[in-house]
This record gives sequence, C-alpha cells and structure tokens, in this order.
Amino acid sequence: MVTAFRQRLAYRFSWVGLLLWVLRIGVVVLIIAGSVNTLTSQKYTLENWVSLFFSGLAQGSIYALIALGYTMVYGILLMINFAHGEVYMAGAFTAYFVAAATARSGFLDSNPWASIGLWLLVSISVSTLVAVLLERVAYRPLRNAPRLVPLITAIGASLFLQYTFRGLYGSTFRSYPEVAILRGTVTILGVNVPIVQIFVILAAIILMLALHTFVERTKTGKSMRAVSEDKEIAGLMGIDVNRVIVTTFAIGGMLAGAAGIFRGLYQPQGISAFMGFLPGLKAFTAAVLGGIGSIPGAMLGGLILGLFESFGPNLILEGLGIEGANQLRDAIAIVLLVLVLIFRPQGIMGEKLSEEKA
Amino acid sequence: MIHVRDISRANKVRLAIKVGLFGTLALQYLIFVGIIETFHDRYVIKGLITIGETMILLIFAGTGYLAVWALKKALNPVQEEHEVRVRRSWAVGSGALSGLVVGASAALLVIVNSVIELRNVFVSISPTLIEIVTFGRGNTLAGLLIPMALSTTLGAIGGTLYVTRADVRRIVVYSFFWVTSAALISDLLRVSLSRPGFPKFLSRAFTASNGLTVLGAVTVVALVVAWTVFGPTVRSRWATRKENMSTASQRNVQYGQWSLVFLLLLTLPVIVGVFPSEVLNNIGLYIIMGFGLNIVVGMAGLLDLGYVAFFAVGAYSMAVLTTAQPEIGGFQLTFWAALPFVIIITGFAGLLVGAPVLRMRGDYLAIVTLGFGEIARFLALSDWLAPFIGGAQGIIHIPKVSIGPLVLRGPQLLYYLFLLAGGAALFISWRIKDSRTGRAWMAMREDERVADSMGVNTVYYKLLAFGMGAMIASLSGALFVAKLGSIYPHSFSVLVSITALSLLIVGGIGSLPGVIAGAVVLVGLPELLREFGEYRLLMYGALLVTMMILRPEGIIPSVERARELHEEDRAQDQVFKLDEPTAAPANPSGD
Repeated sequence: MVTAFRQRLAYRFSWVGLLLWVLRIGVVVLIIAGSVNTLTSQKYTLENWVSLFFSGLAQGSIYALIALGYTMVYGILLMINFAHGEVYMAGAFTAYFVAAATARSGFLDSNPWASIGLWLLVSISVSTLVAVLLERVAYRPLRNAPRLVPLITAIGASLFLQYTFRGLYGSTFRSYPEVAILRGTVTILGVNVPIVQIFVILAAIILMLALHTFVERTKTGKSMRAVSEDKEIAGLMGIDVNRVIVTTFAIGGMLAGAAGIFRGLYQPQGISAFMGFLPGLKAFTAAVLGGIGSIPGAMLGGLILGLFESFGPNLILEGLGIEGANQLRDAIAIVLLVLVLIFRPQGIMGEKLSEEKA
Repeated sequence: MIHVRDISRANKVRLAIKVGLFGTLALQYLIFVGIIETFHDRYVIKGLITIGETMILLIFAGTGYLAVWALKKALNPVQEEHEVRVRRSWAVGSGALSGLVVGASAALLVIVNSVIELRNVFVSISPTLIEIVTFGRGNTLAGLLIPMALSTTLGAIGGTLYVTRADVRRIVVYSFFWVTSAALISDLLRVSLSRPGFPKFLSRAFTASNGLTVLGAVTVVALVVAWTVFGPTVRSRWATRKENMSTASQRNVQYGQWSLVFLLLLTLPVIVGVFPSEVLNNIGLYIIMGFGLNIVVGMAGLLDLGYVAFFAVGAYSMAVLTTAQPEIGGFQLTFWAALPFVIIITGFAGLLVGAPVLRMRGDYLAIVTLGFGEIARFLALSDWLAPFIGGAQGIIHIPKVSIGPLVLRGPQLLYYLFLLAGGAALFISWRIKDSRTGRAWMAMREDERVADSMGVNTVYYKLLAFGMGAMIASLSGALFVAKLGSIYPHSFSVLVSITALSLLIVGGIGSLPGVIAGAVVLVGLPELLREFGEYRLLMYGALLVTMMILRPEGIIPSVERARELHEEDRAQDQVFKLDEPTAAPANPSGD
C-alpha cells in the first residue's frame, strides 16, 4: 500500500501526462456544465427523460447482443472481429425477405408470433453461417500470425461482406413490415412506452440469461472458459480448441442474428448492406466499455452505451449550446470509445489486462 | 526417377467433383453478386465475346486445371522430391468431370430460376444474366446443354494444359491474360492511338468502341508468341552484353535507364491525354497518402485507420484559407501562401491525435484512430461547425493554383503539381528510412519496450511519426482541394483510409516502390474501368484477406519485412538443411 503510494508520488512529470489530465478534467467539466445547463433550463419534462431512458435501453440491448460476439471472440482469440457488424447485417438483411414474404402472404397478421419466430430462425441461421465461414476462411489460417494481421484481414472481410451482400440483394434501402401486436404503448411510471421497446428489452434479457447459463453451466461453456484462460493448456487437457473457437463464433453469430431482427422490429427502416458498420463500431465500444473479454461487461456496456447515446445529445450537447445536437449522436459513441480506451482500457468490469492482452 | 502411382477410380472421381464444387462456388458467386452481368457490357473481342462470358469460360477451364493440380497433389501426398507424372487420359478425364460439375450448376440455376423467380430476392438474376449463362439460347434444352458441353470441353482443355509442354502452356495462358488485359484497357488504347501523330487507321484497326477487334486480338497473341519464342534468347544476350561491359558503362546504362524513366514521367500527361491524366492525378493523390501512411504504419508500426482525418484537415484548412466564398474564412490566400499553414496545422492535428494514443498499442490504436477518422467526418458534416467549414454544403469557389502567371488549369498541368509533391514525399520517405529517425521507428515497431530501454525516446518518435504522416497527408489534401475547386464532407469517409491502407498492404508494407505499385493497381485500374467502380471495394476486401493469408509481405516487399514474416519458415529450413551455410561470414572490421 505504502509503496504503491510512493510510486505514485514518484510518478515522473511528463507533458503527455499533463495533456491527459487536462483532457480528463475538460471532459468532466463539459459533461457537468452541459447537464446542469440543460437541467436548469427546464426544456424537457420528466416524461421526456423516461421515454429517452426506455429507447436508450432498447437500443442498448441491441448493442449488447452484438457486443457479446466481440467480447467472446476477443476473450478467446485476443482479436477484434471487425467483421462482426457484417455478421449482424447478413442476418437482418436476409431475414428481411422472409419478413416481407410473411407480410405479403398475410401469415404475419394471422400468426404474428410464429412469423417473428420464423424471422429469428432465418436471421440466426444466416448470421451463424456467416460467422462460422468467416472464422474458417479468413481467421483460422492466421491463428498464429502477428496480431495486426488478423485485424487487417477482418477489415478486408468486413468490406468483402458488405459489398457481397450489396451485390446479392441490391443497394435499395428496405423496411421491415410493421407487426400489429407490437404497435401501441403501455404506461409505465405515467409515461407511454412503446410495446416494441419493452419486447426488445425483454427478449434481449432472456437471450443474455440463456447465454450466461450456457457459459456457466454446460460442458461446452466450461471448455470455452478454459480456452479463453489458456489455449495451449486447454488443448493439452483434451479440449478441441478449434471446435470451441468455432462454437464461440457461432454463438456470437446467433446473438448478432437475433439483434438484427430486434433492430428490424425496433427501427424497421433502413435495412441495407451497410447497416452493420456503425452498430458494429458501437457494439465494439460497448464491449470495451464493459471490459473486453467479459460477458457481463458486454451486456452492461451495451446498456450504458445505449443510454449515453440517448441522453447525450439532449442532456450534454444541447446544454453546451451545440446546434443540431442529434446529428452528433453517432459521434458520441465514438468519442466515448476513444475516451474509454485512453483512460480506462480495461473497461468497467474488465480485469486489469496484462501487457500482452491490452 | 519417375514413380507412377495410382489412387482408386472412385477417389479420382470424388476429387474431381470436389474441385468442381469449388469452381461452382466461384461461378455462382460471380453470378449472384452481379459481376458477370456488369462485365457483359464490355467486349474482349467486339461482337464476339464479352468479358462476362470470358469469366465464365475462364472458370470452366480453370476448374479443369485445378482438378489436375489437385490430382497430382493427391498422387504425391507427402511432396516427395521426385516428379510424379499425371497420365494424360486422367488429366482429360478429371478436367472434363470437374468442368461438367460447374456447367451443370449453371444449368441448374437456369432451371431453378424458371420455377422460382429468384430476382425477387437476388437482384442480379435478371433475364440478361440467363441469356449470358446459356450463351444466348435462353431457357431451352439447347440453353441447358450448351453450358454443360462447353464446361466439359473447356475443363478437359484446362486439364490437358496442366500436363502439356511448358512453353505451350505459357503461350496459352499469357495470350489469354494479355488479350483480356488489352481489352480491359481498350478505351485507353483507343484514345492513345487516335492522338495526333499516329496514323488514323491504327486505332480503328486494333480497337473497336469497347473492346478489341479480331485483328487487335490476333496481334496481341502474335506478340505473346514472339516473346515466348524469342524472349529468352534476347534477354540472355542482353545480360551477357551487360556483364561484359566495364563498370563505368554499366553505370551509364543505369543512368540512361533512370533518365528515360524521368523523361517518361515528365511527358506522361502529354502522351496519354486528358482523361488518363485525371486518372494519373488520382493515383498521385493516393501515392502521396500512401507514402505518408507508410511512415506511420510501415516504419513506425502504428496501425492508423483514421488517416483520412489528416487528409481532411489538410483539405479543409487549404479550402478555408484560399476560398473566395465570402461566408467562410475570408483569408483568400493563394495556394502557395496557404500551403505552409496547411502543413503546420495538419502537423499539429497529427500531434493532437498522437498524444492521447501514445500508450496504446496494436489493435486498440487501430480502432481509436478509426474513431478519430469518423469523428472528423461527423464534425465536417455537422451544423455546429457549418459557419466555419461549410457543413454538408461544403466549401466552393476555391481558386486554381497558379505558378507566377501560369494558371494550372486542367488535369494535364495539375499533373506536374502531383509529380512534384509525390517526388517530395518519396524523397522524404527514402531519405528518412535509413536515417537515425527511421531506424528508431523500426526499432519501436519491432519491440517498443526494448527500443525504449535502448535509449529510443518512444514518445518523441511516436509523435514525430504521427506528425510527419499527417503533414504528408495534408499535402495530398491540399492537392485534392486544388484539383476539385470545392470540397464536400462525403469525400472524407473511412473508405479513404481503407484504400490507403489496402494499397500499402498490397504493395508491401514499408516498401516505397510497393506504394506506387499498390496505388497504380488499386486506384488506377478501377478508375480506368468504369465497370470496376462498383466492385472496387469488394475487390479491396478480397485482396486484403487473400494477401494477408497468402502473401503478407505484399507484391513488392521491403527486405526487412519479408524476412520478419518468414522467420518461421527459415527456422524450419535451418532444421532440415543443416549442411547449408546459414549466415554470411561476419565482417570483423565492420561498424
């Protein structure tokens, strides 16, 4: 304790350190100043904030589902699967056609739950397939390459998938059909909250619980944890490492596929081959925010990011007198990513990563 | 010693079918993504065969070729030293069978499409496509049989090609390659051939409106044949002549070669004309950016995915400083007066980005810089900064560059500006590479902690790398503005960074000639071929993945990098070849 304190005192002065401190203080001051300004101006009522809270939570649970794919792969391979956003896109974009078909044939109106189940099935299978193929074709040959090599491959794979799917399904933006039973609102705390938001949040929570049980209770989950601890030793203990890695990619793909459907339900418009890039980057932010490699961290990180994005523009940016604050909504997530990586790369729940991992 | 081995017929059939399925995958991919149809607009030989059809035929033949290659590998599974010969009848059989599989898949597509309207989901399966696949016969029995017959024949030919004489194979493959390449750049050829100074009939005889004429194709084939037959003798004669020369005249030859290259570079825009000069300028833009990124990524080993941010800062500061648009800036400097400020401003931007990320390494650095690039774009688009940098409307009325009384109007004159800047960037990169700074960067790239403990000031050198990379990017940003006369935020998307990174990787990270080669291939070719435009990024993605898996050192690798990437192979070689000298004799009096 004492030595640690001394070490801290002996910390050498450096301009970079100073700059970082200035940045840190600046960020905190800006956030507080912005929030105080907005709150004192009384521009928004409590109802506004509550509805922002729920939409943030719904958006955040979609991010969380995608983030789980990043975090699990990182936990095992120590690589950023940059193409994970495209895995999510592949499922959502393919399932759109099934969704449109069910809507046209009237099946959606007669059996809404079965239709949503069907969409989920298609989306999940496509996403899983893409994720597994990605691992097999692009990442497995590079298992022992220098660390930046798989990252570059992943960027390549991401471009490749985007433009492949654009070629397959065309470049027009599509919209998921509206589901009648998810229309309308329920009243929570005196605020009308759209049912679809509640549905997305609940479904995401159920999936995350299922994942948690899988990882903690099953034998495969146990071997996943073992492989993420130490690949070589796990291999020596008789665990088929390649199979575990494929399973990890597959599970990540399943969750991303489910996230794709929830996105289609929650924000029906704007399905295209490029829909995966920003959510992918944001989900990565969520994973880093929660502590990359940690499963509960990714869930928490996703939810926090969703809330941050939903409150940020109105609460902080408007308070700072920035015009068109909502245009900068996407920038908020990225600024958050940069700040987290600069100041707390281990995230909220992550362990202090060793030099090799960080 | 030649061993004739055999595997059972069932295994041979299985192997051929397996390769055929790979060919099917390739064919159906190209069909479904729409590449075949897009390339159907351009002919290889006018009126005879289009590039889309050529692709299909190439896959048929290539599958046959690969099938025999796989068969040979199966006959000699442990890669023994002695040659294993594949019997000609087997080669024909495997090739034909694997080709048939591919052709059958094409026929199957036609059948399926007649039952279900695939176009509702897959936009590329159009009636035109069906016409292409059936070679104009449509959904008839002939339409189904023709692709199968063609694929079987071509597969057999491809298979035979594998076992035939090497020079015959070379002639066929090279003829095919050069005829297709000539067809792809036939527009350029046509423009170049019809310029004043050339007789008029030349362009008409060899090139049609899009594609070659039969005469053109025959000429290319004749050239290839001549080169294959006479090339080796000419080359060896030249080599012996060069060997017999004195050192002084050898040097003279070298000087002569270099001055020829220089002369060519100087006269290039005059030779090629207006539109190709425009393409040259775009290549130049990316060559400059490539040199800058090479300092950051190749030399210092900092993977920067947000390089576009510096390009944007350079472009925007140049635009704000020089624009005549009254609402913005109000500085109205000339290009040359603004340039130093632009470089300094962007250099500072480099330091600003570099400072907070100093302690990050590897992939985190990559993602954060990617984030910076995106933030730059969001800021450029936002209404918030619109009063200063124009927002979504961008900045217009940027004056042309002038040197004294000469205004650089049009791409042919602007080319010299790009040549100058590119030359400067090349010179800086070349001189810095082996300097103290360059070596410090490389040490840092190899191992930061070791470099630090050897006395390399890593903070200083990292910031220097970011700053220098940014300054060079600002140069290309400034030229970009000068070229367009206006800028809009959408020019600064993450794709710019990815293009720059791709050309670096394809050319060879850390290699200066590689940057130029990469830019020519990745930026130049797609600009020349309008069909490529749509699939440019698809191609980049595929290239990045395949390069990383097959040839991570790039097409023109830098020496150190190649050594580093193949360290493991060499270690293995050393285990097996202990009798070979493993290291050059050390120079005891060396520095």
